[in-house]
Amino acid sequence: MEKLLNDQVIGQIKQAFADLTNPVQLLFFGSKENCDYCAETQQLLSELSEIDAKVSLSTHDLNDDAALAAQYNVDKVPAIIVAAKDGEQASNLGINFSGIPSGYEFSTLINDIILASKRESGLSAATREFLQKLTQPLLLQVFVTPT
Amino acid sequence: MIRAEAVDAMEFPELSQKFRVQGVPQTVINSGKGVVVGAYPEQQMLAEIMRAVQN
Repeated sequence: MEKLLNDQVIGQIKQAFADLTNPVQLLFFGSKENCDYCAETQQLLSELSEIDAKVSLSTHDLNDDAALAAQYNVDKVPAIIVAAKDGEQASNLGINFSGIPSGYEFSTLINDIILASKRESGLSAATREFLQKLTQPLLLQVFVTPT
Repeated sequence: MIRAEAVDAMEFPELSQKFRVQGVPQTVINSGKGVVVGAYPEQQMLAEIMRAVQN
């Protein structure tokens, strides 16, 4: 497949990734069947993970790696998990992309990687205080279109 | 405890239909306990989350 990221885009990402502090692991989940954008998403992440040594990628199959998929609450593909990496261990930050992150969503993915690397949500003290007191799980699903 | 998922509305039409997504971004809180259509500032988003969690 032809490269998805051109030199100009790679240059911009390199600049943005200058802010990276701690390692980040991207987990890609795909499936062999019924997945229109799995191959493209996997290639996009592969090219992205080559840009900076702090960003690593592991690839998984929704069915073959069902236990890991369940651990990260992945139920549809393609899926991208943005996780913190401490040593060899990936730790779940609860950040998931379902679908190929193209168009504007690609910027969102880049920003999420930077926030995950800084281990910093950027949220206000009031928001953090509320979220820390939660006793029930909270699921936020943001529907977007890749334009 | 907290999960955030960006969902491509076109790629997963069944889920979009389930939550009646017509405009984007649309944020669905706890599978329909709350909904925010459009991009809200953090404070207002938090208010909607609080409301949804108490429901």
